[in-house]
Amino acid sequence: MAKSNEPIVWSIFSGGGVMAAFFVPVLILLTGFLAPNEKVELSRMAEIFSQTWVKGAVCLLSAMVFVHAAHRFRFTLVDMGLQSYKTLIMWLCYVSALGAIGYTSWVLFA
Amino acid sequence: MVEKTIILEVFRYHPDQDEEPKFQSFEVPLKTDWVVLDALNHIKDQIDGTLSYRWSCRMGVCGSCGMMVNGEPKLSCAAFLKDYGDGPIQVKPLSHFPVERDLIVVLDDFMEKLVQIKPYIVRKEEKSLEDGEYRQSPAELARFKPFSMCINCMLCYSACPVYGLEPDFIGPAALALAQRYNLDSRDEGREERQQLVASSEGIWECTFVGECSAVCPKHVEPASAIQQAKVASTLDWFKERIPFLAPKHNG
Amino acid sequence: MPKPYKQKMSKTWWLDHPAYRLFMLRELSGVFIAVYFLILVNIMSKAGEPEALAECLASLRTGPWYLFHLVILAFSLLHTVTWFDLAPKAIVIPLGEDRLPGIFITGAHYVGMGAISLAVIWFFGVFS
Repeated sequence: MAKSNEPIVWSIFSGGGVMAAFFVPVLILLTGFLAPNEKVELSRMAEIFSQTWVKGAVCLLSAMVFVHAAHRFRFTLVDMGLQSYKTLIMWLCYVSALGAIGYTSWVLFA
Repeated sequence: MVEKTIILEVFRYHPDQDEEPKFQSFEVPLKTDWVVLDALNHIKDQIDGTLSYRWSCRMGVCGSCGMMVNGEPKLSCAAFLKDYGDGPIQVKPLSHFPVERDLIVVLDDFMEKLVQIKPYIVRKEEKSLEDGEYRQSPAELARFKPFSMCINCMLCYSACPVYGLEPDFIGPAALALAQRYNLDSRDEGREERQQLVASSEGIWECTFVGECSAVCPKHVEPASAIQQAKVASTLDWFKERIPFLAPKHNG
Repeated sequence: MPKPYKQKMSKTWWLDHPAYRLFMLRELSGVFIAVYFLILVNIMSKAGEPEALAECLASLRTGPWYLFHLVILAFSLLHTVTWFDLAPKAIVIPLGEDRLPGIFITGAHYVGMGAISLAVIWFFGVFS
């Protein structure tokens, strides 16, 4: 049996998990509750979201989160009884993550 | 005075006679200091001598008496009857293993995997007697000691849904034992073990459910061993691909 | 030759035990967090048009959207709490014959997360 190449995906999965754990709760608070109720000045928000470095950071963060979610969902589906489709599920999940990354980049930078 | 009793519903299977297993109910005395093993011994002695099960030390150190008690993997010598209220208590053989007879499971798969991970000190070159003993500090011992406490009871394999779904998975106890030797300062065999440990049937099959550590009667924490191995294997993977960081390979 | 009985694993094993149910929810949190990011970048894309952004944020002031965000927030917190709880299992810091107690590693994560959250909210001018 040869050593697996999982580490490359696992490191992104771990990175995404760490980033999500630290950043996501406050972001949800911000966009879901604070901003809609005008606790954030609209111009300030527009200014921040227009900055290239902010868009780049969110793009990178979202890429890690999409790979994280895909990796986790892949194993979840397999654990729920779909072992026979292990390889197909793996490709579907990671391709979806790539799709999400592509969509995010296009929305933010196009 | 009427003695209190409790019902045990015990899994019965005779390979030569039964196509399907069935449950048989037994009424046993509910003594405050009795464990499930005492109840099984009472059944075998007084009610049905054909009941078959493994046990030995009756004090939680031999790892022989693992079985499912009300759906939880437990050592039958550590499961007190009084903790199950009025009962009934369902007793089944360990999950995820084929059943030989009654509460006895086939251990072969686990035994093979234990051997495959090379559970012994591996040296590139053995020290000669003249060179003296291997010296190990208390701190070096502490690094791997918890992982050495495994009694091979296999409760972790029964708790692990991944092993249940994927029989090729090396499994918690074997991987914890591999980590025990990898962390031992006297050992030089980590790279040899990695061929199996870092394969897709090894640590990478694990999704960190964590139930293996939860059911372990000796607090070995196999889940921890596996996650630590994942971190170490990931660092290795990157180091091997960066030329000046790559570890030297022995000839 | 006697035949061993092959025990069958339940198709819904993940529903059968509280630890397994929590594990499934924990794993699904990843998907919810990913969905949130798709929403976030949609909001961000409107940053160039103040009217569109204002309209977008106003539309989030409805019952269904609050519920949606509450559900995603719950899953996101589940991810954070379980991730921080499990961190000490993967990161062992030996201190002589002992090791750094896990609670310090978990605690450090929470402190970091608290600091980052406050910094983000401050950065967006919520405290002005």
